[in-house]
Amino acid sequence: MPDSNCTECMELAPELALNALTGRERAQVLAHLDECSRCREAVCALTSTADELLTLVPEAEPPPGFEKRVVAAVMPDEPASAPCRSRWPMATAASLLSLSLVGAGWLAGSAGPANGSSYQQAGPGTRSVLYAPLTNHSQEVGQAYLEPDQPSWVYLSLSANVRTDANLRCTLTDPDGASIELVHWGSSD
Amino acid sequence: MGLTDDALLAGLGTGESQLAQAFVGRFQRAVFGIAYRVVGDSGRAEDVAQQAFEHAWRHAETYDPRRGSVRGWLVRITHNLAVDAVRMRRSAPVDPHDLQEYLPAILRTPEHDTLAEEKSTQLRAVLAAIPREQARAVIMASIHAMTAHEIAEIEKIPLGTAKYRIRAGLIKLHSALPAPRDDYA
Repeated sequence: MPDSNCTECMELAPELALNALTGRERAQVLAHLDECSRCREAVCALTSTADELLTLVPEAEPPPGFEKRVVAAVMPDEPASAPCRSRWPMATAASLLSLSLVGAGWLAGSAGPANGSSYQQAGPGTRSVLYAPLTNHSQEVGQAYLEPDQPSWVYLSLSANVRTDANLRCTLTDPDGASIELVHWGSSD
Repeated sequence: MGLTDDALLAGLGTGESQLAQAFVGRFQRAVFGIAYRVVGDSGRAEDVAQQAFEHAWRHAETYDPRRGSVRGWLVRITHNLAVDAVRMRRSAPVDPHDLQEYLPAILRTPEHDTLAEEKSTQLRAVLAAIPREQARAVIMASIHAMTAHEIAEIEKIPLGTAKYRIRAGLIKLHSALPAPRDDYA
């Protein structure tokens, strides 16, 4: 399909987005999309809508034991029915996570807990994961999660309206004061 | 406070069974629901649903939050696997009588509609507002991965009519959903 034939491509775009084209038609449209960014964007937008339709499918209860079978399949070395463990009690935390949001404008200032005692456990069934809100002027702008087990990980979630040009620094601090900067986004101070 | 969907997914790679249980527990009904709807058989749906979780487990790093929710990502994975499973064994794709009963089920807001995403609610409303035959064609194409030829055959309509219904239905849905979206010229 030549570049000039965007009209024909757009005729088939809904069917492409819904994966309802035959192989030959599909190949024809894809060849055009390789060369036409405008049509590509239009197809992407329609595909996004088509994907949303899948979320309308009613939920259904899986057979009994499904959850355990899945967990056993992905973690064959660990029984799915293992009791919840709290391997990092709050009072004896080996290390604390210190988070600060530094930047100009409305995001300026400290955010998050000043010390480890502000952390909460993330909920039933996830007791070894620690949670802390990231706040700015008392308003929650995100969350931080810390899994202190091996391998350990830190997960930060910021709300979409946080400015992308703001500075964000994440530092892991040991009780003895030693700290490691894990993440630093934005321009230097 | 429970973990967010994103955090739960991010934690899967740690090998922590509690996170895996929480993840599966949160999404198993949605995953099994779409698997069952596409393959139409509980046993095969369970296989597909399990494969979907295993895929998510192995490829958690490919999830991009800018492209949608964890639930949407997982549902797409499940749908792709279910469609593949059906295409491998398909003889008769979908019973038309099932579709008659199915569309109202899709248009019905879930019982716990406070959890329904705003976009899904809007989509459901638009789907209910467009001509029923267009809604059916879009659902047959999107959820059951049927081509226009297959839809024409099942609906006993000319191919051109099936294509028109698919096209008109999806464009109406797309146009009615709010920005940010790219223009469809």
